Amino acid sequence: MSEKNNISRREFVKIVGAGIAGLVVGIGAGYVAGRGGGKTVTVTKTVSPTSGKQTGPSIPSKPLKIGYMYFMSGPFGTYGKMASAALEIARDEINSMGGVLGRKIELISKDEADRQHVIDNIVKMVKDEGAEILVGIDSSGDSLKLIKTIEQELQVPLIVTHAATPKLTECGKRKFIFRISMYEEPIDLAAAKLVAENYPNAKRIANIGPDYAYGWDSWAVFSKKLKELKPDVELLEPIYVKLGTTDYTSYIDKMISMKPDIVFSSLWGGDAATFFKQAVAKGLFKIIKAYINPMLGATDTLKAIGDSNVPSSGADIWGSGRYWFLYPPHDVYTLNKRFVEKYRAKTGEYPPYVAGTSYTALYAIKAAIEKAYAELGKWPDVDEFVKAMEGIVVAGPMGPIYVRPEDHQGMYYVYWGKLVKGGPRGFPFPILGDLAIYDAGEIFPPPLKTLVKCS
Amino acid sequence: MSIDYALVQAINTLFYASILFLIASGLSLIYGIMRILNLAHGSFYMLGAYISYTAAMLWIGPTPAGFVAGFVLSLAFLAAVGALTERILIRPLYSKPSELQLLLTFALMIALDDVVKMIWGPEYKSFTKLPWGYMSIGHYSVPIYMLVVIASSTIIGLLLWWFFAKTTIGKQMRAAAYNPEIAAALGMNTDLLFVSAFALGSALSGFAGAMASPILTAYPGMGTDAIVLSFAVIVIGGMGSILGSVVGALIAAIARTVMVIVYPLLEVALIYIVMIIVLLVKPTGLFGKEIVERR
Repeated sequence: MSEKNNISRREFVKIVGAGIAGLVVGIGAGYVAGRGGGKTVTVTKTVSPTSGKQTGPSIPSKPLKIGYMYFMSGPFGTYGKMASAALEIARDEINSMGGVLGRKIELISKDEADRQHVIDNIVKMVKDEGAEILVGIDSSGDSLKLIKTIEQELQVPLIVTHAATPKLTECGKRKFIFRISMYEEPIDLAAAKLVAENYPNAKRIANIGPDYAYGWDSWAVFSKKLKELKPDVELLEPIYVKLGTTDYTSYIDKMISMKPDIVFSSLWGGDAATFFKQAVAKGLFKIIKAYINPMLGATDTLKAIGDSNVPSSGADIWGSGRYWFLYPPHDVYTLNKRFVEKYRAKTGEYPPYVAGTSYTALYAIKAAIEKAYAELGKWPDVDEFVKAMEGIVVAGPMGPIYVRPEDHQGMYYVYWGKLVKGGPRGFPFPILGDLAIYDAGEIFPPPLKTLVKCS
Repeated sequence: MSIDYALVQAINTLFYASILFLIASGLSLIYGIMRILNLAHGSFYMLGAYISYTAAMLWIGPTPAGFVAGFVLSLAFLAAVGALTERILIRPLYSKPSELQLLLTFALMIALDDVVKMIWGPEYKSFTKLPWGYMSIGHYSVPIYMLVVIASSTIIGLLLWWFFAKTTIGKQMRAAAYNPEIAAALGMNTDLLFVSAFALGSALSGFAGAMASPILTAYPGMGTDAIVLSFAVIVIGGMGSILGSVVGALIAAIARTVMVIVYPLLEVALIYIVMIIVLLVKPTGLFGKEIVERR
């Protein structure tokens, strides 16, 4: 598929390399460098923004207010709590190193679960409460709904860390919106590759996904790509179910009656876990070769599945996500190790992917401001900040992320891992072992191109 | 469609109908006898799920003994919760407009969701194992557990019929339902009858939660989903009728499975469409009697 991409793998590595060497001012700032850092990251300091307070009239003295919005209550409330814990860790780290060019970060927040007031609350954070930069957004629908408000009314940068619809970044260039987190499409494209490469004899491909844009788009991308890579596959009629379905037994037997070789499923969260357990009880994994779920690598889902539901024989179970807390391996990438340790100390849990991406967002903001400062010698205005964000490379717990200037989409590898019992490996829930890593340059579509219909 | 496939789908349907029947019969019973629409009834279902989770997964382990202990404990605990709810919260409102009862039970529903989150956390609680193994039908597999649920629910249905048809207290409950003033004048202790009916209805809901959760998992908010569906069931079957709950639950479950097989887009909607038709054609439900407004 790389012949279709504008950016080949080698170019991507080059860009990332150049970014790390030249553009980034203090990746994870003094944090990485100061404490020994990750072995994969080299930090070049061109200014020393982290040490002590900056002086001069160009840097405001008041704290840098960053407003975030996630689901903080309701059925998806755990997502926001996990993300905000990670934001607080990043804030405390950055502030303890002197802040961003001397300005301490102050976090303010609103609840995305306040469904009637998503837009109002974003506006309120900026206009009434003085947020200079925004972070967050769990729901893809909300992210799209906010485009107009952010781009036209507020003109304030929004760094998206969770919402994963391709439409946010790939259906037209946004000026003020960036997405640091992995989006759906590369994960689904990598899934097609995974199936084509590992299951040459698989013919019949089934789907069960949630009945809304995410479920439809995931299957569309995965199935189109798979058909292209492996034209002999037969795509069975996709099954879509209501979000929050608790009884999948009839669906599972229907699926078994279709005699699939591979089952692709974009069910997520509690739905993914409930489906999984019923699939085990109904023997689905005994009759198929592989089960592929782009959202299975979420720690909350894995916890809900539990070790005893991991089949010891039968189908391979593959999961992915936006960040897997064991990759890059802790022994070679200290930043990840340290983040996992801090997150565990703060919350008692292993960090889910939303924690990894939101943590990274604050460091991206810091890096962009310091990059602009290095060039301009002053605190950047909004346009200058946006320009600095474009092409920046920032190191998060998942490794370096390159923010592609053409579409403001963060690029990094896609992982797919095979589900194994966590107990024997010292974890209280099943984990992903045998990771298959798909390089970003290889797997990302060219900027502003998507298999999903934009209109 | 192969016979194997039809058979497993029939079992899935009966399993789903069994759970619906247990919840809906409790709701219908309370309404039939006391004219109280208990919106927190679904939350009792949720509490049953969490209590059986606690017994089977946290205390005893996912063994048959753990599961049975969970069922018994949920039944007993929810009977107590039901009795206390009637005694403390509902009774003072008998003489007040019925909207107040709706508001109160609605508040209770929301409060119980938060209570569950406080005690057990917001995550889905999973039973890691089902007891009693599996049965193969062709290349399909059926957990024996599902058959146990279907059998238990059938037995409970028969017991309920016997209770109301044959026992004195059952007959008295029906009498009190028909006319509480005359029942009281005849020397029946209607206070006791009402508290017993509320406890029984709540226990059924708790038992439903305990039976359902090993397959359907336990999570905050599951009560809201359950109460909406049980309303459809008792509206179709007829408020206050146990037979109506049986038929309503079967119609809801069959409609769902047929749609899953034939036209999944209507899986959720069909039952509500049926409900609307029943409301238009026979507003009392298939087995319901004319509802006499009291007070």
